This record gives sequence, C-alpha cells and structure tokens, in this order.
Amino acid sequence: MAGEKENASPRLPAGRHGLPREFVVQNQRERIVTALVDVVAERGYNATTVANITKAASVSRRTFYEHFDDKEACFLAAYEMVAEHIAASMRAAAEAFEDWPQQVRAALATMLAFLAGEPELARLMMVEPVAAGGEIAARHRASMQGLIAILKAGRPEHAGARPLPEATEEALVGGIVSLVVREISAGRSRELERLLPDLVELTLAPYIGAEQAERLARS
Amino acid sequence: MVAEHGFQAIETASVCARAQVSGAHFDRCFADLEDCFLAIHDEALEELCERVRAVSAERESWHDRLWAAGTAAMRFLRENPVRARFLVVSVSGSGDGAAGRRDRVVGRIADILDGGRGEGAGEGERRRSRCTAEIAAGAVYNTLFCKIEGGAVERGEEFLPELIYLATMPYLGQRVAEDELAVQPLR
Repeated sequence: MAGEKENASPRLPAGRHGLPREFVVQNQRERIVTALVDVVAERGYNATTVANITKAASVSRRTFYEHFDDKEACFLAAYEMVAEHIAASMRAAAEAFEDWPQQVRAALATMLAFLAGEPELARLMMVEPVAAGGEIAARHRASMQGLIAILKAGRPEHAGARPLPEATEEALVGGIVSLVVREISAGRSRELERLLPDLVELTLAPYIGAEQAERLARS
Repeated sequence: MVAEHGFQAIETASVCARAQVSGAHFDRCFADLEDCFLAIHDEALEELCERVRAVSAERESWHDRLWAAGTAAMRFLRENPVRARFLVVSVSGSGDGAAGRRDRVVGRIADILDGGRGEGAGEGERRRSRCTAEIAAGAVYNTLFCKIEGGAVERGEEFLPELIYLATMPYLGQRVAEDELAVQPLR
C-alpha cells in the first residue's frame, strides 16, 4: 500500500518545475495526508507531531499550515477521505441486492474486507479515534450513520410483538464496532472477515428472527 | 475535572491545584496525567464490579443474575454521575491506554453475558461463541455511552429493560427477549 500511495502523490521535482499551481497544491495536500496515515500507523495519533508529518511528507511547516490548521484537521481530512470511500463501497455492495437481509450482509462483508486488506487504515479509522477523542471521536460516531441507515431500512421486516427499541440500530452498530476495534487492537486486522457470520447473525436477528438470521449468516 | 472538561482540556497543574497537592507529590504518585486517569478508571471500575458481583452471587439463574447485575450497575451509575461519565464517556480521548480500558469494561460485561450460553430453548438454543457475548456487550456499552453522554444517567433504571433486551436476545431469542421490554424495573 505504501508504494501505491507514493506513486499516487510523488514528491515534486526540486526548483522551478513549471507545474500549474493547482496541481502543486493538490499534490502537497495529498502528500501531507498520506504522510499522516503512515506516521499515525507507526506512532499512534497522540504521539504524532506536525514535525513528524512534515518530515515524512517532505514539506515545510509553513506548507503544512497553508493546508491545515493543526494535526487534528489533517487527521480529519484523512479520516473523511477513507470514510467516504468505505461508505460508498458499502452502499454499492448493498444496492447489488434487492432483499434487505442480503443488503446488510453485503455491506458488512465489504466493510470487513476493506479493513482486513488495509490494516494501517483500519487502525486509523477504528482505533485511533477512541484515543484521540474530541472532534475526531465525534466524527467517528457520526460516520456510523451510514450503517445505521442501512439497518433502519429493515424495520418493516420486524415481525415481533413489540416495536424495536428506538436505539436498536445504534446499539447493534456499537456492538459491531466494538468487536472490530478489539480485533484490530489485538493485531488481528487481517482476520476480520472471519467475524462476518457472527456479525450478520446478531445484526439481523432482531428483525427477521434468530433462525432465519442464522441460516443467512452461515450460508 | 475529566468528567467536566474532558481529558484533553486539563493539565497536571490544574489537577494539582484542585486536589491541593504539589506537583512533586503528583509525580511521586503517577508517571503522568494519563497514568493518573487510568489508575482512577481502574479503581472506579473495580468498585462497580464489586457491587455487581455482590448481588449477582446470590442469584441462581443467569437471567436473574443479569437483572440483578444490571440493576446494581444502573444504581451505581445514577448515584455516581461523575464516575459514570468518567468510566464510560471520558475514556474516549484519554490517550493510548483508553482503548484498552474501554475494552476492559466491554470485556467485563461480556463475561456476564457469556454465562448465557446454553440458556436458550427453541429459537435461542444454538451454538454461541465468545464473539456473541462481545458483540452484545459492545451493543450494551454503546447504549450506555449514548445515554450517559446525553445526560440520561439519572434515569438509568428506566433504560435497563432495553439493555437486558440487547443482552438476552442472542441467547434467549427474539420472542423471549422482547418480553424484557415490558418489565418495569425497580428503582
């Protein structure tokens, strides 16, 4: 992944290169964000400094502050970029199916596959926000709304005697995230996909019943 | 102070001033502010667990233990709103040790829920793993987080049926768990 990132945003040639300013600015911004991802993966968010990021990105401190107010703003830019990618992938995976339980399964499978394939980003997206707190933790919670919306669409499937509690979806997503964070923290990011059957079963059970949820999860 | 302002907003000097101790005394007790936070978190969690253990031990069935543990925990959190916020909400943003402490709280809840294996009949009677307990515990923790962050901790017992529903659903099945939502908890 590191190689791909370097290729995506190579360091500009030194001196007068004649490149359009817009390209230079965009290139610098991408390099800074890419550098933050690398440095945070190595040191953790709290131990990362702006100096670490500028050194890894080969940009000046002044350039950094032309793009971002501080380390938190830079982290949020990286977070937003990845969060949007994951959300779009999950939506696309879900839309490939007509029935809601399959949509949930596809969305969860896509999320787990992405995180398993990108352990550095998995840590950045799921573990660091807890340590960072503040705006980053709030943004992290807000980013779960996409999955919450996918689950809420299953309410008409619920055949129980009582309506589901209002906070059911938020709780279920909290349970999913909690287990995923635990696995990533334990260094088992690459094994995340093995959680899929348990996550699917427990997520679907309140809506379609435990037996049907189990069948679908283990199929 | 952490419960009031959040961990990131406080400094060692202001903690020492509030506690009326010198900086040197603080340094003798803790490596840094995070170390201090984690020590207090451990202490508060242990006190909560002790309360839960004391009432749970008297109950024979897993279901009764769950209700007893939930009632004791909600009472503790309602009676200690500052510690409730400290234990569940403030842990977010309190440094690299925070995720570990959050995991520890979820792990303690999962320990209790894991006792539900083999409890179900019919719909709920199927193989369950530690994963089941951890997902359900995460769901319970997240609900607690939202309620406490939203300032609803003084109504802790009111949302206990919702927590018990989340905890029992994977083990007892949807139909049985739904009945929990109709229970009027004792305050």
